[in-house]
Amino acid sequence: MKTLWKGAVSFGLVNIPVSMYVATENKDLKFHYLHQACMAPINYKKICSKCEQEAKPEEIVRGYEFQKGSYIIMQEEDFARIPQENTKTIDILDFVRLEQVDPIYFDKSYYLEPSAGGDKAYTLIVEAMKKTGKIAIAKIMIRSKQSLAALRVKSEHLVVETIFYPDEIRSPASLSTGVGTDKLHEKELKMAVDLIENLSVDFDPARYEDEYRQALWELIEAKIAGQEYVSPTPEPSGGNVVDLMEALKASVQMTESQKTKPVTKKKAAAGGKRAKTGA
Amino acid sequence: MTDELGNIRAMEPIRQTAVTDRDDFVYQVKWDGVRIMAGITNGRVCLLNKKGRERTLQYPELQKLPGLLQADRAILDGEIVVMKNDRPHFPAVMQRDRAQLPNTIKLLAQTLPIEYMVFDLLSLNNQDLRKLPLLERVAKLEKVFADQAQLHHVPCFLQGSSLLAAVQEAGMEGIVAKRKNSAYHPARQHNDWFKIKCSQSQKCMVGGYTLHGQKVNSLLLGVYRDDQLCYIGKAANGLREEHWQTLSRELPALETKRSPFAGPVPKEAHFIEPRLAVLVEFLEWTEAMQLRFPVIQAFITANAADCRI
Repeated sequence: MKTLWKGAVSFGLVNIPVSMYVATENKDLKFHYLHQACMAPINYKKICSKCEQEAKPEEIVRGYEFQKGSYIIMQEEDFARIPQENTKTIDILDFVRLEQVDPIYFDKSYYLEPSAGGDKAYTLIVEAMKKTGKIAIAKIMIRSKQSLAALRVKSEHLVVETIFYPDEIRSPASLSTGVGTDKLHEKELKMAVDLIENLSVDFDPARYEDEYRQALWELIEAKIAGQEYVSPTPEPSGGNVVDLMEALKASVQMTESQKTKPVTKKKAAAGGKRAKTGA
Repeated sequence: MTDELGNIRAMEPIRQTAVTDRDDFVYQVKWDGVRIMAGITNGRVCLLNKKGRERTLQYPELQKLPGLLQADRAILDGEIVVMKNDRPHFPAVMQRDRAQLPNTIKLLAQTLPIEYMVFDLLSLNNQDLRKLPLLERVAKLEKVFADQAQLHHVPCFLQGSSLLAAVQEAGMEGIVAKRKNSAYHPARQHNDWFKIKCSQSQKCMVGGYTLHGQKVNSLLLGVYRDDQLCYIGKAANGLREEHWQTLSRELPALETKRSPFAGPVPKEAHFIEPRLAVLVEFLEWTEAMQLRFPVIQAFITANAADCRI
């Protein structure tokens, strides 16, 4: 796994040096858009909507559209004026019970690994959190975005779940909610409850797989097996290592036999044959 | 997974610029690929690169190793290469090395099959061999497996100069000189292994330049890959003063706004349409697929198809 970030968990007076890793990955198959005439990938270019010229990276600035067609330009200096807390720290603010956090708040998951010098403090906080059954609420900076996060323990590791700020959760108030409960019959409710009980199991994620992705992949594999692929520029063929080695050996023998001729300008070399240990 | 390999670190050759033929050395081809140590433990295989990162999943071909060895436990050291156009092709092996998704790996194993070029044996059936002289390790290695498809011994030669000449002629990366009685030391902590690299050459398109004041002081080079011109670095060496003067007169007049390159280029870049081609010699490809120490040899007549990797 690639380290995303290195920093420290700040917990009371203790600083625990850690490395952070992305914990989940999306395995959706990615498709490229190709130009049908050439079977080559489509490129994307940044074209100015006014002069229709391509804009170089250094010619691009960021603007906030505060009303249609009017922008506030934000330069790097402007962003630098905003006071940022230490970008290399996960600051623990409070401890709460996991059940109290509604799953809608969870965004992305990251693993934390102790860095040099942090092993003991890391184990200490893991054990203390297991004992109390609490999770930590913390502030963290990831790629210059400040996030709220929950720190919890998963199989002896600390896991950071970034969580949305309350104002980022949309209210469902405007959505309709079916009928009033007085419209339900006792019998209907009992049947539904029975059905739920019958289908109840312990959660085992290994039982589920992405059947669509699997089917898609099988289709692609079949197309590859049937050589149904296109390439804008045909791949060169591979080659044979053994042939190459034989060619090298022949070439070495040739040079060595030339070297022993008196007419050659290069200094004559002793030895000549390959070492006995060579296969 | 990495238990068998433990904390073993790869022995790395020290760079030298020339080769001398010596009786106490043997010489091997330096295969241009990815250095991989393979730990085999009772039917299981674990692969690590020289930085100690696990690469077991990337090379499923090597899962068959246990069945091919005359040993239950062993640690092999070697180079994984992918052949293209009858030569080891570094960009192709990097493509294998970077693959992450199981499906992609499975697919690439068919389209870009690897060859494991094995040159050392660090342990055999729980016996640490690293203190043994090189030639004894190599002799034991030869008994561990027979040369076959995708699994090869790297032969030892007695003369470095003739091997270097052969490798140079074949357009390969270089050779490694190894002291016959040397133990296996981690990293570069030794005076026993040396690498001597041939310079490689590549036809490149010039897609831009940089200026120092009014003067052109480097050319931005690209090669085509999947019909995109990929930036592979800038070259400032190899040309005479009069060439730079000519370029300084001609190139700014051809400047275009649009970058012909796919992907990022240096900030100070000026661009031209990719029509001018050069032949460069360089030491090696970096992992970011750029040229290390490119030296311009000549301006050449070449089209996009010639400047491909």
